[in-house]
Amino acid sequence: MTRTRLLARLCLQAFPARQRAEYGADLLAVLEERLETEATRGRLALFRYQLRAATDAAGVAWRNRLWRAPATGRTDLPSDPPIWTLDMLLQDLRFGIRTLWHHPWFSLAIIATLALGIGANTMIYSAVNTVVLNPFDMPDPDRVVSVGTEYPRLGQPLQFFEVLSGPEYADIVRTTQTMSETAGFDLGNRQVMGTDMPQNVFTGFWWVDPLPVLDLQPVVGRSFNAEEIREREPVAMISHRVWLNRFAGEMDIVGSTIRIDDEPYTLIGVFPTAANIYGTDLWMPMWFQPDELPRGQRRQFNLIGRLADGQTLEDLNSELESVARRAELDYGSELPEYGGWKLRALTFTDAQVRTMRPAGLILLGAVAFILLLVCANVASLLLSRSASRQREMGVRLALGAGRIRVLRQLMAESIVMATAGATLGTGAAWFGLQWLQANTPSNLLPTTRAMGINTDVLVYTGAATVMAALLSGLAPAIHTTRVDLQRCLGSGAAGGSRGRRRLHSAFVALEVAMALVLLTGASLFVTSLWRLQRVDVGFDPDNTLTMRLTLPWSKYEGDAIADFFNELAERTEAIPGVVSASSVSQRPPNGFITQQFSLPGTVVDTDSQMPVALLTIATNDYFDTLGVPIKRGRGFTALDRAGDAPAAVINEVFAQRHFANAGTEIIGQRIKLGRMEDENLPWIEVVGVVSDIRNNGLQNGVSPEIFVSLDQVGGTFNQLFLVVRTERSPLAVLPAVREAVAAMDPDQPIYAIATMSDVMLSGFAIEAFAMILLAAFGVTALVLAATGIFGVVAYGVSQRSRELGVRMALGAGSTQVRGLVVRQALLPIAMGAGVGLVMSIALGMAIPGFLSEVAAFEPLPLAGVALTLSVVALLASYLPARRASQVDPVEALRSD
Amino acid sequence: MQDLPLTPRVMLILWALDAGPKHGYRLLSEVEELGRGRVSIGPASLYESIQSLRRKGWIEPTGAPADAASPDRRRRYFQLTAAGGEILRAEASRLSELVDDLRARGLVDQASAR
Repeated sequence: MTRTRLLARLCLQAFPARQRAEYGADLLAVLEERLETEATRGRLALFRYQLRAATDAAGVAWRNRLWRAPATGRTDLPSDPPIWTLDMLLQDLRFGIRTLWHHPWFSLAIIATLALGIGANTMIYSAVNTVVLNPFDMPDPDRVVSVGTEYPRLGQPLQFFEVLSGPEYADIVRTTQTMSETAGFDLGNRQVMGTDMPQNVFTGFWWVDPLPVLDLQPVVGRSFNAEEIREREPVAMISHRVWLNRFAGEMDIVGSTIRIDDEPYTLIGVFPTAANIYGTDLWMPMWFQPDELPRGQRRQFNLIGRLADGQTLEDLNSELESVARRAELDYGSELPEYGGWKLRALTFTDAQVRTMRPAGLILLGAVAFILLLVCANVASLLLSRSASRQREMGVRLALGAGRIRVLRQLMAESIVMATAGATLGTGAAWFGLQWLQANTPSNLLPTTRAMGINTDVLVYTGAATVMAALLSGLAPAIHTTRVDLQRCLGSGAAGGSRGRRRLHSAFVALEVAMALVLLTGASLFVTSLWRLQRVDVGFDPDNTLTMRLTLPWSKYEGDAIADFFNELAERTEAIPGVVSASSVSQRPPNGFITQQFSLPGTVVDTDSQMPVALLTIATNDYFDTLGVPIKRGRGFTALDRAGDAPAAVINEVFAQRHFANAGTEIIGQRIKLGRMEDENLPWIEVVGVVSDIRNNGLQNGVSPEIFVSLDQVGGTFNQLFLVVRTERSPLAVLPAVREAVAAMDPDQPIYAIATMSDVMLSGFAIEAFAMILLAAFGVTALVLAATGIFGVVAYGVSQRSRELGVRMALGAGSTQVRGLVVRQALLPIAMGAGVGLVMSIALGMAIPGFLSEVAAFEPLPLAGVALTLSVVALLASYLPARRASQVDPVEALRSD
Repeated sequence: MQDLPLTPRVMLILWALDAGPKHGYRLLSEVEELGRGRVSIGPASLYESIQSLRRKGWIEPTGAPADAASPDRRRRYFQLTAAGGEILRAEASRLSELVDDLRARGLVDQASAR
């Protein structure tokens, strides 16, 4: 009955040695008799009893050996309560601090490592919390909603920015009951004049006072009343920052007059920073009523609302669904885009940050991995030290300390170190956040909140600290308290234990896996950005400066606008260092102004069936300035003046799509920018075809585009970009360009200043930013993994110096010893790499479509990462191995 | 007495030993019988309980009784101490008072009370 004996021995393990000796024979007898009885009831009953006996023993073992004083066998001592009381905690902490003080360098190394992990987590959490989790500093941000639209017919996904027409807005406000407050607005630019430098200010135009929606109060003065909005009175509110920066925070500005676009307005109040509506700095009443506008055009308005008490987002969305169905029913025949139209509300926060959220969460995940790596490193350091502390532990246990008591003491040390690390790390994070705040592209931040260390962040830091203490301390502590008293007190030797070696290997595997995942993530971002930067945009974006000017209608009209921009181009070209200058209504790579048009011989029933192309107004030298080759015909010249035959230049995509049959006869084809029947519209003749440039975002293909000459459409558009090609650094000519503008009109501000290279990548600011941080994490992970592996292998070698010495004394060469050490390190490294690879691929598949230009599985970067990591890991284990092979056998054998 | 009420397991062990000294297996079988099959004790738990009752001074090891079969003579027998007998009786009267109380409130019908 060997199985019974085995079971009995297992059960006996539940008891301390003395009781084991006392009850051993009896327990075996009990078990034997009992099993005989059970055996008569059948095999199942027998098996069930064996199982029960085993679990029973496990329960007793837990109560008996972990809870109470086990190693001494003195169960008659009062046992400690399992949880800390405050007194005990304080005592343990004091003792912990003293212990750490005795090993300053060791403690410092651990604290610094923990500070790195916890600090990085604090910093990233603070940043992510500020930017994407909790960006708006208003009461109950979850009650404030934004309404967006989706046009399945047009293949247009859910959008929230400038999406509603006036009547659509009115429909929603009229028919929904679930919002207690709503406000509609439009966005635009206005010029505030009269101070030293004219300023272009991003402005919100309101149909309703928005502050009740946000549940906020004006800082100074009051907000709009219904009559002011209905009567379109010249009143305005300014943002808190404009108030501080331009009006020095003077309380008496209420009632004063400011000049906006050359008209006098009365300032009625200052809205708070928390009222952050797309970063607007100036609020004014809207200049027409919603119903005065056409239903199917000018979808440029936004709607925010506040959920009524007791209503949820789902309630609102089901109401919006019926509004959309109603519109489809009533206007579907006239406006085919209403087919399947969707109106959808999200919280205001979600609507604004949903595109950034994945990047934020990826960063949070990545930095959590760093913490895990740090914990693995610290744990393996502590484990290495457990050998030298076994004697100390043995003495304590022998003197009657319970195992839990000693465990608690060790955990107290971990808590002390983690807390010290957290303090240090949080301090570092504060500096890191200052840097981050200063270096984050401002268009990335929908928030005016500063990244800092607040309660939210500290709670997170606290949680990270506790996690770090537990993760890094528990396994080594359990291992350290597993002491064989006899052996430990009997001799001074602390042999390498198999358990410790296994734990060490597990840490190495874990570190390699984590590092691999992090590096793979970073490599995907780097690959994505690298490919985006190499997308052929169709022109040379280097050494090109762009900026925008909006000429107020009150001062410039008709040909005056074209004259202004032509003169500005001339003046700019006169600046030393400028190669060429011109103006354009929309700059690549993001065209947004489109136009429906007609071609001769094509008949359509409704407007919505007319083809659409980007319509761009440009001055004569535009193609030269950008360096866009002209494929056929010519660009605009001085011949294309106001009164002459209207001319158009098209891009290649347009030519292929609409004039594919014309062959070489493209030049001379005609386009009408509107309905065919409209007699007032002239036919425009194609005079040239230019090569394609990206005009629909870098990730997307090129859209058809029509260029017309500013001289010929001069009076219709007052907002243009100045494009300046320079010999060298484009920003260097900026002051001279400012002077040129001021010389023509001192009240005229310039804004949206950026080099073309920056504009190209501006859509990827998030990726670029995340990439930098992730790359930093990847490098950190690599360093952590390398030091971790190095530490473990070096420790293993130092423990085995005697054995290695014997081997060498018996004739093993240094190569063989080196090989032995490296080979043994290789297994956990390989296992870690395997796990890491699987995790990387799984993660890559879990976040599809987030990165442009990369697939979920990119063999090349993955192979690169795996190779780098392997080389580093091998190197980290080779260095201690080499030291091992230089051991003097005589020395090694003599030592203890 | 602050040790009351006893857990069913302890109560049954003391009760089983009240009839005379027993070794482990007899004790186990007796407890299960007294518990009418609703109380069962695993082997390890049995000796855990024995150890803890010894510590409290309620039971003590004793020699095998004269009439024990020879293979059982080597086994370790336990018997109730005076303190153990006291606590058993105290628990029994506590339980009986409890049952009286319950009966007075009509919560125990005659059939199941037997």
